Amino acid sequence: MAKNNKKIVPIAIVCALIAVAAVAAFLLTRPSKEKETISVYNWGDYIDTACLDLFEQETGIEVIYEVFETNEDMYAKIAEGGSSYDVIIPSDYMVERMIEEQLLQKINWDNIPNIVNIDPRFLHEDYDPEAAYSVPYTWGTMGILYNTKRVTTPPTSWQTLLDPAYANDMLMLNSPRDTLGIALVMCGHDLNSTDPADLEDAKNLLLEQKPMVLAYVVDEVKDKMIAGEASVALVWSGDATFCMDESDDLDYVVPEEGSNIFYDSICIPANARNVSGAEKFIDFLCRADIAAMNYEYVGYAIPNTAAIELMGADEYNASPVNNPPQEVLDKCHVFKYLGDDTKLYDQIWTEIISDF
Amino acid sequence: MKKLRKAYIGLIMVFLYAPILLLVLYSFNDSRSRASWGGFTLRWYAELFRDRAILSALGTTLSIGLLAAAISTLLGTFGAIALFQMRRRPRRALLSVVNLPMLNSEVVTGVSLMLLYALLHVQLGYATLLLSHIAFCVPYVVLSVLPKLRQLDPHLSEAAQDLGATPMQGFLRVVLPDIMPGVFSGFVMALTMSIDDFLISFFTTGSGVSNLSITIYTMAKRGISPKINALSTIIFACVFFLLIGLNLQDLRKEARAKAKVESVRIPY
Amino acid sequence: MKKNRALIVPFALWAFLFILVPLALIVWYGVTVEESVPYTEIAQADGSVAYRLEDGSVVAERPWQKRTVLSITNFKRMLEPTYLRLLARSLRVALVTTLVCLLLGYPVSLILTGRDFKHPALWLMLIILPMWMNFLLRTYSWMSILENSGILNSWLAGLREAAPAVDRLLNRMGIEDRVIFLYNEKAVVLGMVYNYLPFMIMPIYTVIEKIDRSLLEAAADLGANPVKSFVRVTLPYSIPGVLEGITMVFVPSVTTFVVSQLMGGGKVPLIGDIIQNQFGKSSDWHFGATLSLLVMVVVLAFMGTLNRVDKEDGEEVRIF
Repeated sequence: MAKNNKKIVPIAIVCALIAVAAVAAFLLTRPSKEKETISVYNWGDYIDTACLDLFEQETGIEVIYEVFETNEDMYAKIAEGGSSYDVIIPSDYMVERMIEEQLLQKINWDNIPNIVNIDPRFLHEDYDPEAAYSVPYTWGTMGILYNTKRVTTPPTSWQTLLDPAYANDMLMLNSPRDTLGIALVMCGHDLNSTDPADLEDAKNLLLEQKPMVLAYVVDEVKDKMIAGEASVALVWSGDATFCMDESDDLDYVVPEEGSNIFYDSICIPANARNVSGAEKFIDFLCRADIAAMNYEYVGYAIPNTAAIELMGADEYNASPVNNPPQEVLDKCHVFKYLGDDTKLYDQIWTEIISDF
Repeated sequence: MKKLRKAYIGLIMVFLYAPILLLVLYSFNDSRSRASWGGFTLRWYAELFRDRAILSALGTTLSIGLLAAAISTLLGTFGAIALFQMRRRPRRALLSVVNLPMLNSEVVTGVSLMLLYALLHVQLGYATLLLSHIAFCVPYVVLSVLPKLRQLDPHLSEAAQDLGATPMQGFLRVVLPDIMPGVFSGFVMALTMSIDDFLISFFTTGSGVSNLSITIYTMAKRGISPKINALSTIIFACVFFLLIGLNLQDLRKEARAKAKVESVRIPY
Repeated sequence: MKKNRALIVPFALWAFLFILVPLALIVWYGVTVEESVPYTEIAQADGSVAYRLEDGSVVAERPWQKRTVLSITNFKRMLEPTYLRLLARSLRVALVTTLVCLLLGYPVSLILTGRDFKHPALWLMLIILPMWMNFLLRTYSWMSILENSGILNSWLAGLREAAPAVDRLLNRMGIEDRVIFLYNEKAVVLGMVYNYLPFMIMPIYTVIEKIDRSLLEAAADLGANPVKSFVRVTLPYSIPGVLEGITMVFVPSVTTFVVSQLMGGGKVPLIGDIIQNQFGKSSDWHFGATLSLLVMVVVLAFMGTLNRVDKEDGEEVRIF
């Protein structure tokens, strides 16, 4: 008991120290009141944080920066209304949904002069036909990442993912929409189909493929492909870039049947507090040098022509990730917001992975 | 037999520490990927101290963890004592309520707390994050204090009061020292849970407040940066040496006390 | 201890606001679904389309609003074989995990509290310490040990090269290439045991440590051998700790999700993964809440059984 009594004193001291440290940290992390601030909500690790410092230096506007993991998480926070952001970066189908639900506001292009840097090819996509609410930040495709040491003839078709030669040697994405979408393409159906018969085809295809799949992965795919855990994998192009930077044995292809193309776009939520600050930030991100800086850091393909020229177009276009053939790109489509039919995808996907 | 026991503890330690050692190793790996060894480097440590997002997340994690652990230890200990004094039936009822959050997946707790704040029109931020952490830490404290109370000799504090101690004195002198190990392990548990939590934090934070787990999970999207391994190594080393230091001090004191007792005993 | 009723007030208030109210919100989500506001299209004179809502008002844009209505659809969906099978598997995995933790952890607590073991508190701390490394990082680390291209397999390959006899033996055992350790249920159990073992050791240790030494000495004086005094004294006294350990391992095991994704390679989905998906990508909070309610009921039933074993908080555990 005497031993325990002695323990109380240090614990009390530690507690007191803790409280002081905590209060100090709390006061330090609070944004100062006098400064103009904007609140930015972005994907994790999706900007070179040096850009944020640069923006603060140039404009004096402090950036409160927060990150999310999935579109749905971000949507929940915005729709629930507990928080307010000035700039957010959702993906295509989520932009469509948020426009429909009046959660975004139209951008005043007069205040974004650098919009001229954006390749018009990437504007007016299905999710924002008037190009009124969003500025594309990055874009990418889905495709096959393969190990050139073990896959000797470069794949050109999605049929590679059904090849018994890669049994227990292929990785698929554990993501209902993405994987079922590709399965729909493999069956010759529309990427966004909600026809139960089409989805049944896709389901059967994936069930047939299942015994050959080593694992259904999400973010782990990068480490696994770099380590040579499998020979082929269904990946997003951003992950492919990361892997190819790390390993010389990997290459990427967007199969000829077509694929999904996705955009992550910069938007201003309807309930933004500092719209003019947000416009300045968006314009800043569209500047050639800043877009180039972010490209170097993030690695996703960018729609910013001026930035590509600045970095050297030849080098940029040499990557199969940044520059898929136009005829393949023509067959790539964005995911549409499916509303209640999202449930159908989820149900089918659960049936596929829990089939044991 | 004694060797066998030591060997068993040794094996468990190998099991617990093998992945930790590997993580420490990665923090010195001159390659972004876990898959290949690119040679020894300290550059991740250098980069870590330049990354303001990670550093501010670290500050939030520590301050939230310590505050939440301290407050929930207070609340949980008094709660456990109050529970212990209740009659059987209401105690069972309240105890089941307290255990409820542990039955939920974290995401459900996180979402339900977020809905609660939305219902009360509270702006998400540091305060909501702290409240949520307290909310999920308290049951752990209660769970570690209650068994200690059950083992308590009920006559002891009565005896103390018969001898003229006030209830407060009785509590401080008799009850508290006896349940202190439980309180302490509750505190450590709460701190550990708070530092490790991602999901509940994610749904209940806002206004730019982000902790380390959120940073790490969202980073996983592009491959976890070895900077995080470096940071984990530093945290781990700090805690490790702090504990060793505290325990060494304890051991020395114990040895001294023992020596005293023995020297007293000899004349008899 | 003198009873002090005022103590309960702040605690009960806290429990109400932070446990019962959020729970009520989840129940509300569980028994409701969201559906689009019904409307009828009406052709306007100028050829455009307007939309009439139920209350008779007419709007120009297609209504996107949702409304929340009571429904048992989600309960019906929950009872489909897909979800019940997932639940059954989750329970099995959680039970195996708990059992393995108990078998591994009880001896640890016993050895640490043994009379001849020096510095038990320090060792206990060392056991908890790994939890200070982020959960995700620890699991990633296990993956790099067990992967096909992982450390164990590269050691195995090295061993084969160094000792042809081993190579032959392994080949005869049917292991020709690398061993696939990951991507199955065993790997998931391993990952869960790793993460939850300290939860089992801590409460058991705390309780055994508290046992009055004189009891054990008395038992020895009365001629009980170590096994007998363990069965008669230590074991019954440690039951509350064991039950608490079981709770603290079993409950998170049922609802876990990251471990099963990473160690099982998505091939061993558990109910926690599915719940997680509902609140994440699938974005169906109502169904997620319904599934959570199901899991809660099952776990509560389990705890109820456990409580009966506990005989009201261990007060009636007798010695001798």
